[in-house]
Amino acid sequence: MSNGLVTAGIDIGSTTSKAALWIDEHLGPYVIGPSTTNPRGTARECYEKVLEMAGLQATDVAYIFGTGYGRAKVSFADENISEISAHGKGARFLLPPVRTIIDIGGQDTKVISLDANGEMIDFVTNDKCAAGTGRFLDFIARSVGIDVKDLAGLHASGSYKPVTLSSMCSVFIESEVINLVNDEVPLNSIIQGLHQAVATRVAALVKRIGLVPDVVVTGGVAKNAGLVDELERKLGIKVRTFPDDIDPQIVGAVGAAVIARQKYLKQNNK
Amino acid sequence: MAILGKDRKDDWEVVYEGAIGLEELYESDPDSKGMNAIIKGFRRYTEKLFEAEDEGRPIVWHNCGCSPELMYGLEGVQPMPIEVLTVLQGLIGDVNYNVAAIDEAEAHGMAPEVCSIDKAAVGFVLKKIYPDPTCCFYFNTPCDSQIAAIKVLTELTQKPMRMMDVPYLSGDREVRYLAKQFREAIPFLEEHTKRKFSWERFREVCEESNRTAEYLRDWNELRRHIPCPQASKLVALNTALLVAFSGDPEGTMVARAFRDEAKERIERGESSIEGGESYRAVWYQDPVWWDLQFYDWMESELKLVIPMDLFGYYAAEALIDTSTPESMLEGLARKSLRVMPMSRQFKGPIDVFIDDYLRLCVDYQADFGIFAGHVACKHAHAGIGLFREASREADIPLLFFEFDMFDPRVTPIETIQEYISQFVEDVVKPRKEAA
Repeated sequence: MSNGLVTAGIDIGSTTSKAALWIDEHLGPYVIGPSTTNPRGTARECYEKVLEMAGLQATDVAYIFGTGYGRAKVSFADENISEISAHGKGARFLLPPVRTIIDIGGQDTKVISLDANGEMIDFVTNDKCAAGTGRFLDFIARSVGIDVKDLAGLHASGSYKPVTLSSMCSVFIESEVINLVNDEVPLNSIIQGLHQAVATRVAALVKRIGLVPDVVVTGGVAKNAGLVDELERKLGIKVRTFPDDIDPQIVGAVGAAVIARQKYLKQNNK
Repeated sequence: MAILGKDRKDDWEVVYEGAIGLEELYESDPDSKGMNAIIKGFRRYTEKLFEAEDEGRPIVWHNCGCSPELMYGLEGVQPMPIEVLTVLQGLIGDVNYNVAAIDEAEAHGMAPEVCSIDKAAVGFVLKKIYPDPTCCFYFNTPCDSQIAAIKVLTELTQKPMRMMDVPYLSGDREVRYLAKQFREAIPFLEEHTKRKFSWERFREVCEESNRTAEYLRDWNELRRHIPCPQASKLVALNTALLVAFSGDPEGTMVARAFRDEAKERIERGESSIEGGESYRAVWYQDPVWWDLQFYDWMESELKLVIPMDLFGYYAAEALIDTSTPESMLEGLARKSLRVMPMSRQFKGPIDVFIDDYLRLCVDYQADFGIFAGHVACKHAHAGIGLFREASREADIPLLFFEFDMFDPRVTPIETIQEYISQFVEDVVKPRKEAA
């Protein structure tokens, strides 16, 4: 039983599902798990787990917002909201000076622009092409026999000599990478080149909307320091990071929980 | 359906049937005075074109950068914009005829990058759908695509052609430069139409054009009203009105109906949207001419109204001073350079394009702007970075997407609807709620 106002955000993404609690003015516990072919069940599992972590019952939660591609499947949510709004709100609450949010998810990349008051003023998405997404990095990592989690480490190992990858289509780039491996090009150079290619694509998206500092990267790919490093090179600025205790993958769920809180307070004239 | 008692090419009959059907539909609706007037205007235009052909009167082709007053200065001459059938098919006919004409032009060798309205015009000429011109009177504006199409049309028709060189800038020097070309074009038009140009007739035409302009100016003012009194789709039709009807009493009739309807609805306290409007947006760049019902969807589903767009905006300086032949030519040149939608914004520095947009957003109290980027308007797309920057500075959210204003295959209507719904939901609605 909580004494404060508790709201929840459930983010059902294409690759991972997340649940977060917002308790009074602070981020409560959160969970991240894999998405499954049963989004309803996944949402329920994440939610139950996060309640358990907080020592709360479902009746302690005042309002719930679903978000992400599977938001409509969060059957126990009071409302749902697009992941764009959720990421914008979440990033702003977790890192108040932020004006540009680059969310690189499993299935798409979004760039969200906030005005000085933190209200969203524009966004742009790359949702028609797999290249430049988390799934793309995962796919290439597997094709060269490494775990996606090892990409950042390989990027940082050895000297910085990124190869130039001429293809940007995820299908063609796989053959190009395999050819480079067969030519015994050092793996770290290939990974650096891969990150550079993805960063170029993401930077183009950022420039379409206009680069306004501070900039933060969210989504699972934000954990890849090699890619973030390349993105900083391409954008010519230092990207902000969340505090160590906040996983960048949780931002959408946090945003949904914050929006749930605001909605609850508004409805109850508080 | 026969036109003036004669069977015509299918393409025209479809348009004519569409006009008759829509006239019947809107005539019984007392709140559709404007829509009814322009539909009637389209029907009358089609009839006038075939009257001219049947009577053997000269038909002069022109393009959408050209305001037709000078041609009306020659008795009995019927001007015909080369885009006329494409526009009519999109608005009141069957868009599949346009798609077929576009494919025909591409098969003939027109580059896919050329504007669909120009490709369709070439397609219709290849299919011999248009009445033959006596000669052609073109302006090299509003874009390079038009020039490409004009070259092809000239090759195909082998008819005499006069091209007005519309300068990059639009100051007084440029007005005089264009007016001089108009004067030089008169003997060309007289020679090939075998009709005498009359300054007195030209004065009457310019006076008619001024009457239309005055109504449109009032109408532009009335559409600022909150709630917007009339349907969004009416603004998208204004350019068709200007290109086809400037200097024609039919145009004045339509403009007056636009004005009267707005005025009467404001007096009655009526909104274009049942239950009231929630959002207002300035639609910039090109309208979705192949699906006017799309505007009804925005109104009913999103409670979003478009009080003004680039095609509906009628800038000041449209009035032609009719005191002397020179003042009339200069007045027409000024209108061509500084007033005609697209010609005004797509030539010269991009400042006019952006400044007009920002002014419209303020004047029409828009919550946001929609930059509907017609894929062939590369001159406009080139400035999107500056456009976004200016919107950001003015704190006006801007939705940008690409589509084709005559070819529904490029971006389907469902995708456009999704773009707009998402932007309203994610950007506009939270900002309004926070305000």
